[in-house]
Amino acid sequence: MKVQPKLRIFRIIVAILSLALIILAFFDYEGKWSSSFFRSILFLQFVPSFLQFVHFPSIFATGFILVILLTFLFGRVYCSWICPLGILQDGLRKLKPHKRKRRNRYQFYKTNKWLKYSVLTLSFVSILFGSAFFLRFVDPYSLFGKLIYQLGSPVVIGANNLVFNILQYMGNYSLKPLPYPSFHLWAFVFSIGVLGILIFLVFWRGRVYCTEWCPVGTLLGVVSKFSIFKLQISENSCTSCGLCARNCKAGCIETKLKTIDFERCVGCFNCLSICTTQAIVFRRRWEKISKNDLYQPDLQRRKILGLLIAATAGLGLKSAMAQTNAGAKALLPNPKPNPVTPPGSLSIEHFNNSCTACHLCISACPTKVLQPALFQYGLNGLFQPYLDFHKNFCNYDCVRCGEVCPTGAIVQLIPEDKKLIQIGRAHFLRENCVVYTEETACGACSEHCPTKAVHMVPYKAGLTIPEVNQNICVGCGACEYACPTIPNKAIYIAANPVHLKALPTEKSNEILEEIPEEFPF
Amino acid sequence: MKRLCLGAAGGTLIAKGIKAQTETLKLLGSSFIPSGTGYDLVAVKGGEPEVMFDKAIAALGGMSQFVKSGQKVVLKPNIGWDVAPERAGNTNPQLVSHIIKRCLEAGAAEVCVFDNSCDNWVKTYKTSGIEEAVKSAGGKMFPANEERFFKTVNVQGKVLKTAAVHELILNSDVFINVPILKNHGSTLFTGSMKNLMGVVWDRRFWHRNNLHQCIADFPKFRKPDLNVVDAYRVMYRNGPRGLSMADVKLMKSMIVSRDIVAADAAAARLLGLDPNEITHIVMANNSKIGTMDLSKLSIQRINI
Repeated sequence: MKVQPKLRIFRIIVAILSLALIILAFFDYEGKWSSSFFRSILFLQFVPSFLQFVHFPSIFATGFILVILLTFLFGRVYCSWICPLGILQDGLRKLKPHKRKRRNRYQFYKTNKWLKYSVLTLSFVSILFGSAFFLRFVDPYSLFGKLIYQLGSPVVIGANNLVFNILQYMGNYSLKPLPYPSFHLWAFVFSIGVLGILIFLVFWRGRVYCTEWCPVGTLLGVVSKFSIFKLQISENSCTSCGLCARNCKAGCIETKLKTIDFERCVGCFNCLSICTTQAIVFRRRWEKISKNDLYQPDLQRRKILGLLIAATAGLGLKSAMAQTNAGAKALLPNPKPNPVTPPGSLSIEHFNNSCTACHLCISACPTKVLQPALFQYGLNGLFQPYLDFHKNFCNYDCVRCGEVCPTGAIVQLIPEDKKLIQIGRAHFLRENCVVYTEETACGACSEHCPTKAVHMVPYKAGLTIPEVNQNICVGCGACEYACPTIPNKAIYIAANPVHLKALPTEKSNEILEEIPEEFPF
Repeated sequence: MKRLCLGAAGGTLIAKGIKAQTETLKLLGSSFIPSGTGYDLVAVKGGEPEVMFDKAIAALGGMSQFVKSGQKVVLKPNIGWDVAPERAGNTNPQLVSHIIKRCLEAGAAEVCVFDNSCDNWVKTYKTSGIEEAVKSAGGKMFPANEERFFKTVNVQGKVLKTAAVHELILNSDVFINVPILKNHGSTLFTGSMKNLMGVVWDRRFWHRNNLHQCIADFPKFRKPDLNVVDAYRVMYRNGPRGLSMADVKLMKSMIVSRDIVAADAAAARLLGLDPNEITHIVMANNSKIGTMDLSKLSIQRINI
């Protein structure tokens, strides 16, 4: 029995480790860690693993099965030991100001099965109909990702740059200054909203998000009904003091009836260590107490939660109208009916179906060409990454986004394959080009082109003008980014909704030796 | 030391009768290397970058002519592209490292290196091999990825009136320009003057507003104290980024000059181009930035 009170300490250590690793993954700005490191850290994240398994079943996508097995053994330990959003909520609770030193922090509440099963059903239906849209708002991992990227990374980057400035002042250049993430109002508002709601819920009733809303929690709750090990109250030892219930962040201990709603229990094991009479025990379901008390569902509450989420969604919808382009001048526009998706995302359809917008690739992208979308994909792709060639362009040799993506939305590629994937095609608008309008040299697009799909051909006396060979274009957007014309570009990438193959360019690994015999001057 | 003594003896002579002197030197061949500051331009071929640089600098009077004890030196190589050294997209890292060592030997307080790269700077610094080369030589690699490192200055060029210039250029005592010679899709070639596009923040302005004129205007603000054109590996087509090593020739050459226009004129010739066809060389020559007429210059040619 003596091991059991220590489960709490053990849980705290594992939880801090889990959270720290995931946070670190989001702050690997220099790409120091390997793909397998990312895969191992995020292996157990339920929704990403499940989505990957749906699209690309493999041994590397079986993390969610492991979680189910774990739940079948010990209940929803996932929620307190592995889930970053769950651990974050435990952390947020520590911020709650205590007026008096009291320990009755929580109380038992009744669950609203109607609500949580609806969320779970909707999540499944959404996946069945080929969209990860709904998951983007309920999956705890990707909610956490958005929070950490939108709210956490500016702080970390700010701290990094502050230290850089101090070191620089002392003549030390060992640290690298980092660019701040671009500000995206609605992604920011969404993240602030999520954080605000979480803080409110956590201060109010602890892990109410996890017990009443989270689809992963609900699913694992169903599994935990059949768990081998369960928390149980031994009626003989229990004095009904209520200490455990006051410390149960899931509000699932009913002291009067001496029952635990294990379906909601998030496996923190605080009750085990707090109980003075050791009346709570973690043991095999069939041992001793045979009758499992599942109390009757009552239609109750939690509608406020739904309202809050709906309000956030409403705010997002409003901005659809605000998203018009102002100040277009005489230059030709750059029509972009579709957003460009990252290399390895196969097609817009696949990407929409499997990306939960956790923003890990956005934070890992070394050039920051990946940015969260608003309505570039339509509502279906809200907050999903797309390539914004006004911010930067896709590095020809880089495959980082595929290396970190935990859901299989961006397939991992080797650089040689990636160099032949055509995510879009360059379109040249001669009437916008500096060479045409000003009759001066430019060629910035061709300079940056890694395949010479954009090359310069003779124009008027002494001038060259761009020409595009779309067959060898990979759609990296270097030309569009480098093009100096305003307000529109003279060359732009039109997305391939389904990625295509570019023709290879001639390559060689040999250098011709040609040392001049005489200097030509 | 021997070379320096010889140089001191012949110094005044060289200054007076440069042309005659070069002619005789030519006859004497490369085994006799004079020094002093009389040459306008030194061209070297046939050696490794380090050896070629040492010969060229000796011909110009040694490193002490350029770097004095306690001075702060800034080196501007081309680190524009995320390509390996063999692709010749960026300045040879061996050369960069060697110049830093020579600067430090000459007593430089510190040697800083940077480039406002075209590809992602973290990647170009690394893949080019220059970051490592700089650090191992005792230099300092400086970022140029944010606007805050740049200060707006008056250029007073024909088109380029102002430019945001990297603070290292403004704060350093000695400015050494270390471009790599390459073919270029629009400016035909890239050398010393074109390399200075990497010391400013907004290159797009140059591209929009008569690129050649802007390139020719910028040295009005600040001419490098020394230009070392790396032509060890030369990208002779598909520049400035290149597709593969098929675009590269091993030319084992180097052009060194105080005169940025002369350096470019000679470098263009090395690439098989007529400097008269390269608009920014002609423009810079016409506005007296330097001399493109190589026949008017005293040139030391060294074969190794």
